[in-house]
Amino acid sequence: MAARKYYSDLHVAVSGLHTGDNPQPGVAVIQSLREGGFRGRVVGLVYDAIEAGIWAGAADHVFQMPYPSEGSESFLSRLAYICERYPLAALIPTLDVEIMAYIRLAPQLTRLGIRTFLPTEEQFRLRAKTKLGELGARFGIRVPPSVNLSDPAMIRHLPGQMLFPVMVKGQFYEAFRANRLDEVLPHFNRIRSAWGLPVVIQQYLQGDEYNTVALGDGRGGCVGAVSMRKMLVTEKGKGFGGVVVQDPELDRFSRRIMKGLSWRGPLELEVLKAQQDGCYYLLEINPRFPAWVLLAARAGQNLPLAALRLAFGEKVRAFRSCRAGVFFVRHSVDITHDISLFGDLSSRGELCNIGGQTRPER
Amino acid sequence: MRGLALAETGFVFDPVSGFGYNLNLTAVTLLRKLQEGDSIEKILKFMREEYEADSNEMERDLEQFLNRLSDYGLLNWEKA
Repeated sequence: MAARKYYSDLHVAVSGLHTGDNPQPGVAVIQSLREGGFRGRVVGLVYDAIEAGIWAGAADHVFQMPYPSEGSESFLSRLAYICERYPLAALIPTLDVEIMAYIRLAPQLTRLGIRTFLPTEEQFRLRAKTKLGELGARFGIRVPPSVNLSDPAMIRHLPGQMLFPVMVKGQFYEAFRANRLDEVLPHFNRIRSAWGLPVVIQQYLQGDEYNTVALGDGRGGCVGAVSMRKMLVTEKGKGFGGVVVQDPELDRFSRRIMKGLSWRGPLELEVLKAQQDGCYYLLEINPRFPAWVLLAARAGQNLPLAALRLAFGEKVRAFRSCRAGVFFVRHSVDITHDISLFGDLSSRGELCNIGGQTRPER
Repeated sequence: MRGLALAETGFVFDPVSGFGYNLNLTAVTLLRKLQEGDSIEKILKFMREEYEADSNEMERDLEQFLNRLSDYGLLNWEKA
């Protein structure tokens, strides 16, 4: 799938350039676009000047954004400012917490000339961690038993509802394992203060972890889907290594979810093949590309490029297969620059025509 | 038998589960024969001709190997 020539005139914005121990997907999305033949300019939208992808030279220009929680007005006026400098033709948001803001701002974004390819608000709400049980029952998908806690007093009822150990999960991020009832409350408090209520308690299942990245056309169809088995998992449960698999059963499982949701845009499914019965269980649905999406592109399905083309209203033929056996391992490198460059970005909130500026010093 | 990818080095990759296994050279030879569709009897005959070992012991070894492949979900096999 090659990008058309006219892409060379375009500016596309991508968010989420941090690449630390919990890497954001932006850098992998940009790399996929470029490997797919995209020759336009990439504008990185960042929330913090220390996001490592900035300094690795992932984007051509970088602009700091106000947090979505600051309200849509400041968010929009910042985007309007950026468009005056570099007219953005499309935007690929990659962070869970900002997706809803972009969905709601779709009409204003269109007026600015910015295209997106995102789910509807209803689709977005349906995949929430707090609604996973409901979704499972509706689409005939196995999910681990779970309860939503809106009050710490509910914790004492857990033993009657599920077996230990359990996972204590925030509605956006973070999950901790609690082996006993008395371990739940500290995790509950920590997650409540970071991500608010409800806190999700999910039955812990033992098994092999698989992740799927997929792109839905918004009409129940699946433009592509690539699954990988996690080969290397960090203490935080992040997959830092994985290999592409091709299991027809997992593929059917993923497509049933895409069809049920009529999902529009990218998503990541976190799936577990349970030791107890060898069946696939859905653990989470993340409403964006994952940080490992480059693996999918290298395995033959460049989903970020396909999403961009769909955003432009092009017809995109669905991918039929991918190359199983392609694997990735994530590694960190130290990047050095003069502090003045960091100062430029943090004081002015932008760094343009990065080019050679962010080529790491030797 | 699943579409296993078998390398000369003895590394086998199962594209369905994503797991990899290391085999010794004898196991690689036997797995190749299974992939080519050879019957158990034919493989046993080959082993008797190729290897110097007690015939019963070879039969037990082959059975053990097939059981192992079956345990890993790589082969549907049950002793007749």
